[in-house]
Amino acid sequence: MDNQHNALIYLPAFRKRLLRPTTRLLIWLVSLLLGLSLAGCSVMWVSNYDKESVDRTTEISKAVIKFYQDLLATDVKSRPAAIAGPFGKREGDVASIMRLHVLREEGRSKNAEGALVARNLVLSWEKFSTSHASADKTALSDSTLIAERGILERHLRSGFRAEEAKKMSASADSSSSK
Amino acid sequence: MAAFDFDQAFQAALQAGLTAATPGGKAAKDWLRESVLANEATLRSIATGVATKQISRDTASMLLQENFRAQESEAAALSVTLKATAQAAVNAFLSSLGNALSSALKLSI
Repeated sequence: MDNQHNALIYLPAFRKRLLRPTTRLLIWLVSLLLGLSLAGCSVMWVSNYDKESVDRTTEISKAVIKFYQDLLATDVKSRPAAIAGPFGKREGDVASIMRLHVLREEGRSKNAEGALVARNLVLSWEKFSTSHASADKTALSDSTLIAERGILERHLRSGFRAEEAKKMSASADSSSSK
Repeated sequence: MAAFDFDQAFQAALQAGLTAATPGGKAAKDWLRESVLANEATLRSIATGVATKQISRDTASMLLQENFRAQESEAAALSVTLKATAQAAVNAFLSSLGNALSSALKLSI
């Protein structure tokens, strides 16, 4: 009994002396992994795939592409007047859809990147809208408009890519659990 | 009763994790290449516009700033791809290990 009592007292000291810190860390890590896997735990670092987000991005893409297509089809000399008139209103309408998209993206958990892409899209759109209304003679030239459209398409493509990546992660999870 | 082979279960779980990470890794690589090409195309179009006097210095400066913003969006998309890949790999690993341990426990009970 006395020996048993002594063994219990000296066990932590014995373990400390015998096991190196790295070994103890490894044991702790393996125990954690075993615990997690036995409990059926899984990690979640990104939000789930959201089809509505893709649909909103598609709607915005259509509006942006159509806007630039129509503006490029307008005679260069008539473009300032068009921006002061109906095209200016369209710019405001597209900005509203984009702002709504930002709010929806910000409302999703674990979606900081999706929200950032949505915010960047609005900021670029507003910068271009301000530039269109400026006195700069090249603000509405074909080259400027094509470069702007290219930049906006990159934001939109990033939004699609970010959402598709989440879909890929979800399908990998479901296939692994089968 | 046969003893539980932890090494084998661990190797299988590791393999499951690696398999789950493969498509995401390829997607990240493709995306990185795509964004480099997109950035190059934007810079080329701005430079051509400036050279042909279709784009003024002020407009070019504004476009360059927005090009940086587009790069930020592309980096964010890459970050999501990497996170999603890591998530898929870790979950596949945990799931495989959990299944092996559950089977072993069921057999022993």
